[in-house]
Amino acid sequence: MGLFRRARRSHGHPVLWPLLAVLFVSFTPELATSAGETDSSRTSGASRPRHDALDYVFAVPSFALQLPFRVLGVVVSGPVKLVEDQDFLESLKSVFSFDVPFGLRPVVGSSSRTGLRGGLQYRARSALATGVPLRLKGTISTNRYEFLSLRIGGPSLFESPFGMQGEIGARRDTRERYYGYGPSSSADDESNYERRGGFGNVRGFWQITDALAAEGFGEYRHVTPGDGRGRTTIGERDSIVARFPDDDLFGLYATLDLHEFGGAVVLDWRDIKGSPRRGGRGELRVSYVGGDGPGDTTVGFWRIRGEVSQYIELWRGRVFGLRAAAQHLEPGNGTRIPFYELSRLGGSNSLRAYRSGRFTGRDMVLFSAEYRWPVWRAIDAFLFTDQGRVFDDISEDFEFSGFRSAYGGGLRVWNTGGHLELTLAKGREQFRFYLAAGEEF
Amino acid sequence: MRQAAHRFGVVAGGIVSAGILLGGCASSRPWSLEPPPAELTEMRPLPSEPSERDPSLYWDAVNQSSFYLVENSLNLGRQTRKLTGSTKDAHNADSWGNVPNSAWFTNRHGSKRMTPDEILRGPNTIDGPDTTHPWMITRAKTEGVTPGFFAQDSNGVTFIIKFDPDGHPELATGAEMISTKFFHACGYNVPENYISVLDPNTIRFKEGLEYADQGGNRKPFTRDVLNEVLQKVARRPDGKVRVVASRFLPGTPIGPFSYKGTRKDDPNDFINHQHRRELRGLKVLAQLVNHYDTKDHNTLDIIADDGNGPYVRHYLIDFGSTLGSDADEPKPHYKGYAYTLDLEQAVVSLFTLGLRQWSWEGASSKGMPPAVGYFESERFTPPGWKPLHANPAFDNIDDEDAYWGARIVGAFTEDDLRACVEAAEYSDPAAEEYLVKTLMERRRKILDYYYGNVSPLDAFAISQEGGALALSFVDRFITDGLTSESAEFRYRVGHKTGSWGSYISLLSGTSLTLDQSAERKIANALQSAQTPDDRVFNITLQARHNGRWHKPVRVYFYYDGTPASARLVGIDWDA
Repeated sequence: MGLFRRARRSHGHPVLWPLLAVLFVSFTPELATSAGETDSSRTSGASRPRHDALDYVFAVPSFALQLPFRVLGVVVSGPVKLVEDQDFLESLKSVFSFDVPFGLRPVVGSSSRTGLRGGLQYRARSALATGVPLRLKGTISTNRYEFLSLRIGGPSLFESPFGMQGEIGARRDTRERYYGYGPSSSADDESNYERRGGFGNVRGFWQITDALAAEGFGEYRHVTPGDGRGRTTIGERDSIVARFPDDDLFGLYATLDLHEFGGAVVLDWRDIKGSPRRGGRGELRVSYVGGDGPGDTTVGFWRIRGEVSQYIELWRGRVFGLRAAAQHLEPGNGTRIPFYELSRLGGSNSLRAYRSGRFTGRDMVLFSAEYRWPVWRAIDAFLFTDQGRVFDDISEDFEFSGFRSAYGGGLRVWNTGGHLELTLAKGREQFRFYLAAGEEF
Repeated sequence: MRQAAHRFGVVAGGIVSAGILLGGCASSRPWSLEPPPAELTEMRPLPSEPSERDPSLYWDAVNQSSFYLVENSLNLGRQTRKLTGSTKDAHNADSWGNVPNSAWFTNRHGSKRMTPDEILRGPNTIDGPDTTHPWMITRAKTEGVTPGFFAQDSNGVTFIIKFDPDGHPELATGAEMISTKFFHACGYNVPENYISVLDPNTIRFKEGLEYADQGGNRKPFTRDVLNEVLQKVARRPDGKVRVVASRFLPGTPIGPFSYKGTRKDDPNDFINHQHRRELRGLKVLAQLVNHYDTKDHNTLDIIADDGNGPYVRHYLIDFGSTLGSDADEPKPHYKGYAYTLDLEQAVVSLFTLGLRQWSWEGASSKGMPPAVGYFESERFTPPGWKPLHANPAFDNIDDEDAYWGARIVGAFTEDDLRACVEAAEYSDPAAEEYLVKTLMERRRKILDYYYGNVSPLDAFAISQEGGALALSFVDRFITDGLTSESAEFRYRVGHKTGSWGSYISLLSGTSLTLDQSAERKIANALQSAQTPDDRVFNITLQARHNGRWHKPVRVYFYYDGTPASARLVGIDWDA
């Protein structure tokens, strides 16, 4: 065996070396034609110094260094040429323009929460020739998340400043995370619960001016939470009841019929939604959630959420962005708040170094600051810091201590409609990596 | 492990040392005792017809923006040459630094002045398409950014019809015309382009004419389709359309040439294109009119026949993306200053947190006539100019190639450039004025930079007057109007590639007579001369302008001691 191995080593690989030789010859055509070029009878009659010798001396080491890239180039050239042949680039442009194409399209996505997600979406520009758009969407995921909805209408109808949208659907969120209540919850207490049910909502929109819009909405939710047992086959998280006492989890074992009514005012004076240089955005959203709780309890609380962001262009696309967001839940007399309706912090558009829903409390506050600068045309880089905290009652126990920090950076590919963002965030507990699309801060 | 590393170090060190040594020794004689050929033997009849080349436009863009650049940086020979400053000379330049006429290039304005009228006429052989009778569309292209037609006039001459984008009248057609005239006068093969007016109401269609829709389906081309297509283009108030009618090139098109390598099935094509002086030096000429879209697809090879059998003639085509035009819109500010995907600028921007500011940032088209688009001379700098993608020929440019190009740029006076601009037939006189002024300023910057990299001396003539050898020359820095201050010159004499003694100041004027000491040394060298090469001598000249000495130029001459024997045999601007 040893002798055989030595023999192979001394004579080289029977396939590799001939292959390398072929690659060398085909990838270094300049050397092949150099001899012809020195034929002075065919050129100018003059013999000029050309330093061709360097090409010969360095041919092999240069070839060795370049080979991986040349092979990669050959591999990449195939799909690129395919794109050209099939007008695929136009489709790619339409996807990145954030105009989801009409007709039947596959839907794919992935996140640590849902796992790999896939399904189908059908969009019609005009349902039954009414001029009203329609969307039917259904997805399933490897973490057994299920979603199905039918949505009719949109923020703007019939080229008017008014819009109306209605949606009905059902969902099953099987692997929701819960870490406990309050700012001092521990990542070690990560646990699992499930939420499933149906929903129906109606929204009315009014684009008052270019920058100012108002929205009114009402929603019915039929929610059946589960303790996550039997649904934890993927991953190693405990059931929520293995970590926390039932008393702390109001609404866990009850099927609730909740209704929510509210309104919002949005003032958006950003210059480019995908990557604002100047301007800002403010949003105030107020709603009331009510319903019968388990036993003789009642669910009822006000949800007040405000967010304001401001963008200051330092010079030529170098932008300093600031954001402040807060949410306050105000229960009525003798009414309670289901644990899954509480304020949450964490995720790609929140406290970025922490998982979605890492912190739960009645109220939450979040501050963000970002420095953004152009890297190339529609690609920006950014550095950020987020500071966030949940509170039991912001009006009574607000303090600047105990805030959790996240910091990091990333790249953002943008256009006027939105952006695709690659973020690396670091907090006290872990690094987080996101690839997300949207137009948020 | 350490042993392996040591072995690797020894081998790598050996290779690098050998490379540098060989690189340094690789120079051969920089003169030729034969007279320069008027033409290269690149137009010999082809034994068989080369096949059509149809490279991928997207792959070309991706490759030139990424893989090519990475591979270039890993080309050790090239990097060593860069480090040692020993550039690879153009392969088709003669010993006088010129390019012989060929299937690629014909010496025109740069070697023998053309009149403004000749420049304005350019490659045109007719007076343009016949507009007194309706045209017939014979082929249509409706998809893509810019629509186009093939149309035949009443004389049966076929033209490719090009338009201005909607909302930007005269933008692309003006740029196409100006650059056509300019590159023709420079010496390149370009199509015959004519400004004309198309009347959509009188146009006829070839029977059975079809077009391919976006899905690739063949459909009949009707007047409705024509009107739909013409919605995308700029129209005059009377409904007619100003167009460029580009005469179909005579011969069989076989696809674009590449700026790298050769066409393997063309035996006449034996010089790697990236080492052709007219393609390397094109970078300098392209800078003047901002011909940033120098991708392969804007070139075309044609099997031509001038009566001596078929050969491949190489054309530059499609100048709609030059000056301030981007064919379908005014030129974005970054084009001409950065690659489409400029990895270098992107990486620098990323790691400097955006503190590095690029010349194109914050640019504005304010004050520029709409027909011009974005074309300026303030932010423009010759070393900062970049084409759309990396261009292998441009990347190999050396000082001599650049000087070759700059000399042609220098040949264009204000009247010559105005002749080019007149070809655009702008309706707004301010557009013409703005362009001439901007071109002149860009010309000044180009000459100042590239003449500054060498001793910009030219038109050398050696003679023997009154028993002494004399050399006269022209100072392009002064003749091309870069300075009004007098220049300073110094020289020294030598045998073959060597030099004797130190520089001697030339007190005034642009001619020198060798002193007795130099004459004595030449006489001594001639006594021991055995071969013709032993009778080659040189004069190294150095010019000083604005207080700065330029790199010297070395003029080689043959002299056997007889009065009529003195003649130039080579010039090396990179001495």
